[in-house]
Amino acid sequence: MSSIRSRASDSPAEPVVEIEDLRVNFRTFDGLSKVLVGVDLRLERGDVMGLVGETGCGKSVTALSIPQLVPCPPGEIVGGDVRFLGESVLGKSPAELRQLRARHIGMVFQDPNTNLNPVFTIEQQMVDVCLCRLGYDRAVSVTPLHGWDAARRDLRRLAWETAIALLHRVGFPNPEQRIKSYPHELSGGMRQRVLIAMSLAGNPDLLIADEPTTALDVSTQAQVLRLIRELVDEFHLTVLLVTHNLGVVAQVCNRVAVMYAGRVVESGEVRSIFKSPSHPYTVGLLRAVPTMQTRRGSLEEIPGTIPNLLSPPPGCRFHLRCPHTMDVCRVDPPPPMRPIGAGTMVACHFVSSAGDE
Amino acid sequence: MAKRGSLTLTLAQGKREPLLGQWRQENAAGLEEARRALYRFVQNRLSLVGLGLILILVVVAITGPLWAPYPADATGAIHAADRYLSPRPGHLFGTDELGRDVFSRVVLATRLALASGLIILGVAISIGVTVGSIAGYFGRWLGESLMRLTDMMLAIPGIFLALAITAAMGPGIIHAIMALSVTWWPGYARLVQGQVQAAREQDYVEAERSIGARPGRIIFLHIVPNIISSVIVKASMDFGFAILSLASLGFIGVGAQPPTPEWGEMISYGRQVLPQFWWYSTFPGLAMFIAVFGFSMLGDGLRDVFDPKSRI
Amino acid sequence: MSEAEALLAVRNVTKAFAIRGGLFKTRVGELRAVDDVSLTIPAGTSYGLVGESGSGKTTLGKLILRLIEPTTGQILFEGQDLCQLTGDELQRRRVGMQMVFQNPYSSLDPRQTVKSTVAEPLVIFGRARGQELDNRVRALTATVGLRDEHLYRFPHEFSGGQRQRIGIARALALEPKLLVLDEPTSALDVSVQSQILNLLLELQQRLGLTYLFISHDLAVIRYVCDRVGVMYLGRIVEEAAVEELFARPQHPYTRSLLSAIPEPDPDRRFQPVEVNGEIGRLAPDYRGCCFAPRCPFVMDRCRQIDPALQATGSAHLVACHLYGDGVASN
Repeated sequence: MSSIRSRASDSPAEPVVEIEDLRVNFRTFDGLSKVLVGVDLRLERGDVMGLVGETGCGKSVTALSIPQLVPCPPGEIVGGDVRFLGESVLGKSPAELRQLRARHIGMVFQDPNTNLNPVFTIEQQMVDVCLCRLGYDRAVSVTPLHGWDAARRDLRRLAWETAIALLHRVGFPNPEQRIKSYPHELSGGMRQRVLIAMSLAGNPDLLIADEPTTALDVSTQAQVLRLIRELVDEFHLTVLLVTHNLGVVAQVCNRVAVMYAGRVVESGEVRSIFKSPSHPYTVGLLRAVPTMQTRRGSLEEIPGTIPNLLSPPPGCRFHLRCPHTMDVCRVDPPPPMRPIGAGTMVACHFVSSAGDE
Repeated sequence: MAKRGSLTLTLAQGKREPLLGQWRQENAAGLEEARRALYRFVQNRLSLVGLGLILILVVVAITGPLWAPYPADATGAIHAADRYLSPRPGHLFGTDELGRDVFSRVVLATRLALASGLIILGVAISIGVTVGSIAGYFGRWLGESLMRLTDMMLAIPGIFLALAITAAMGPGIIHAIMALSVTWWPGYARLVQGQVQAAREQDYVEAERSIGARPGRIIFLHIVPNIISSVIVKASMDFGFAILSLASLGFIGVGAQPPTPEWGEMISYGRQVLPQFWWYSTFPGLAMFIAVFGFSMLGDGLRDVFDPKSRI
Repeated sequence: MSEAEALLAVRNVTKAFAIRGGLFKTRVGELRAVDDVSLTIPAGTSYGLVGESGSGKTTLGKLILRLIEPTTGQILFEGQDLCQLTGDELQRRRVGMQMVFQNPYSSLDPRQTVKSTVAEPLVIFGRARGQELDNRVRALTATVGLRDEHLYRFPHEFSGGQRQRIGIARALALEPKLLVLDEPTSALDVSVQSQILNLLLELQQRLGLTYLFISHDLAVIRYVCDRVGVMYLGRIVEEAAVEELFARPQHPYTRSLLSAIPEPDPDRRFQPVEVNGEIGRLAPDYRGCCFAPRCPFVMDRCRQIDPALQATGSAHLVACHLYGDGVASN
C-alpha cells in the first residue's frame, strides 16, 4: 500500500535539470544587485551534486530558481533558461508550478527551527503533505481536510499510513506515537528528518537541499548525511545539495559545482576537482579549509573580500583576488564553461589560455 | 596632506583646520544614514502632508503674535458690541460671546497647544524611558516592582487621574500639564521595558559588559539609542493626543483659565451656542483636527523610516 | 606545569541553573551547564575547548570572564581568585582578559562607529584621551588589518570577516593577557576564516597572548591550539595535547566526534561511529557517566559512578571507566 516507489529512469539521456546562462537581478534600496550573471548547470539523473560557494555567490538563488521560488519582486530573471525534465520552468503558470513542486521537486531547507509550522503537530503537517500528493495522483480535491464522507476518510487514512512509512524510513523513532509531537518538542536532527520525509512524500525526481545540516551538530550532521546518502541509493534520487561546507560535499556528493559571485566557475566530478582543482578560486578555497592534515601556519588565504554585487569589478569578478590575473581578466568576463578533461568544466581566462598552449 | 587629529584637540589648539571637511568625514556614515532615512520618509505621501501641516502649525505658533489681527483679545480685551459676529472679512472666524476675534484666539492658542504637548511628552519620555530601561535591564524584583507601579498607573484612566490632580492642586494650565505628564509616562515605560529586555540579550550588550562597561553606560549609551526609534514614533503619534487631552481638560474647565485661549475650552463653550453660532466650536475644532492628524501621519511616516525591515 | 605558573587555572567550577516547575515555579531540580570542570592554561599557549550544543563550552568561557557567576568553584587568574573579587577590584583584574564573540553581526553596537567601538574600552578605563586615544585606535585597527577610512563607518557596512576584526581590535584595546575566543570563525565564510585564523596566530606570536579557543570545529582547533579539552554535557571527558588527541583519541565520545567530521577529501569517506540517539539532558539526580546513555561500550559501572579524569599517558587525561586505573581495557 506504500506509495513510495523506486523510480526507474525514464530517459537516461535527458538531464533532470539544465540551467543555461541564467541571469538574475535583485532590486535593492541601493540599486540593482546583479546576483547571477550567467549560471550554467546540468544535473543528470542520479547525480548528487554539491553546489558550493560562499556568501553572496548566488547558490541559494540558483537552487530556488528551479522550482521558481525566487521572490520576484525584488528579484527578476533577466536572461537565460531553467529547464526541468526538458521543459522550461520560466514560462509555466502558477498551477503548473504547483504541480511541479508537489510531484517532482522536494525541498529541504536550512533551519529546522523555522521550517516547520510551530502550531501544528507533525502529524497534521505530514498528513497534509501526503494528502496533497495523493490528491494530485488521483485528481481528487483534498480540501477541506476534515471532510466526513467515506472517500475522503479513506484518503486520509492512506495519507497517514504513507506518513508513518516515510517517517520510519528516515529513522524517526517510534513514529506511531511521536507523530503527535509538536516541532518544538523535537531536536534539530529529528526535525530535519521530518523535513526530509516531507520532501520525499511526493516521490520527487529532484531533491533540493539548501544547507540542510548547517544548523546541526557535527554528530547529528553525520547521521543526516548518511541518511541522505542511503535515500539517494535506495530511491535513485537526484539531489542538488547547496552548502558552503566542502567536507559535506566530499562525503556525500559525486559531482560538484563551485560558484563565485554569481557564476559557476568550475564543475565536474568530486574526485577530480578535489584532487586537482583548476580554477584559481577552487584552488584557493581548498587550500583555505583546515583539515586534519593542515600544518600550523600553512593555511592559505584568499586575500580581499567578496565583491559588492551592486558595483562589481569589471571583467572577471574574481580578478582582484586571483593570483593569476591577466590583462584580459580585468576587462572581459570569463568565457562560458569549457571542458578541460576528466569531465571538468571551467570558466576562466587563465585556465583556458593555459589549456590552449 | 594636513595631519589628521581629533576634532576636539584641533578646536582646543585653535588651529584653523578645515573643520567642516573633517566633521563631514567623521560623520560621513551618519550623514549617509540620514540621507537614506529622508529618502524613505519622502516616499510616503501622507507623512509628507502630516509634516507640512505640522510645519504650518509651528510657524503659526512662533509667529502668531506678530500678525494676529487682535492680539489683545487673548489677554482680556472685551468688545461687547461685536458679540457673535459671523465670519467675515476682518473677523475670519467670527467673534465669541465677548466680541473677541476667534481667529486671533485660535492662532494664539496654537502656541499653547504645541508648547504644552512638548512639555507633557518631554517629561513623560524622560520618566518613562528611565523607569522602563531600569526595569527592563535589571529585571527581577526591581524590574517587577517598577512594572507593577507602572501597571497601577496605567490602570487608572488618564483623564480621571489628571482631573484628580488638578482638583487637588487647583485649575490652571500649568497644573493641567503637570497632571498629564504624570499620566503619560507609564505608556513609555511599558514600551521601553520590553525593548530593553530584548536588547539586553543581544551579543553587543554582553560584549560591553566584558570590556568593563557599567550598567548605566550600557543602558543609556548603547541600548537606548538603539531603541529610541520606537519611542520617537510613539511620541509623534502621542503629540496629537496629548493636545487632545489638554483640550479635554479645558473642555471640562480645569485646564486653561479665561482669558487664556485654549482650543478645548473654546470648543466647550461653543457647544452651548451650537448650531446657531457654529463658528465658535468649529474653528478651534478644525485646528485641533489638523494638529492631531498631522502628528499621526508624521508618526506613521517615521515608523516606516525606522522599520528595520525596510533597511535593505 | 604547576598551577602556580599557569596564567589561568579553573578549579572545580560548576554552574547550575535552577529548573522551575509547578504552579508556584518552585525549584524542582537543576541543570548543570558546567559540572565540576578544572583546567589550566599556561601563559603564551592556546587551549582549545571543543564540544557540541549543550556541552557547556560557551558557558565556561563566560564563567571565566565572570559574565555569568559560577555556582561553585574557583577561577584563578594570575594566581588570584576572581570569584572573591568585587566591584572595582574585579574591574581592574578583568582588564587582563577579554572576549571575542561568535556572531560578528550582533556583537557590535549597530549605532556606534568603528572608531567609537574600538575606543570604548580605553574610554571606560580612562586609559587615553584626545590625540593619544586617536593614535591608539588607529594602531589597533591597523594591527588587525583594517584601514583608516574604515574608522568612521558603521558595522553594517562591513562584511562578517571585517566585523570580526573590529571585535578583535576592541578586545585588544586594553592589552589583555588572555583572550577567550567563542567560536570566532564559525559565522564566517571559508576564505575569510583562514584570514582570521592566521591573524590570530600572528597576534599570539607578536603580542604574547594566551588563548582559550572555543569551537565545535575540530580542524580549526587543531590548527590553532596546543592543548584540547573535549566537553560533553558540562564535563570535560578528555584532555590532551592537540596532536596526541587526534592521533590517539581514547574517550568513546571523542572517537565518535572525530569520526563524524566530514573531511574535504573524497577518498576518505567517513565512517561515523554509531552512537545511540542524540545529545540529551541528564536527569537531575543522575550520578553516572554523562555519556553512558549513548556509549557503545557502556558497562553497568558507567551508569552508577561518574568516572573521574585520570591520566593515561603523558599529560593525556580521560574520564572513562574503560581506562580505569590508568590501564586501557578496551
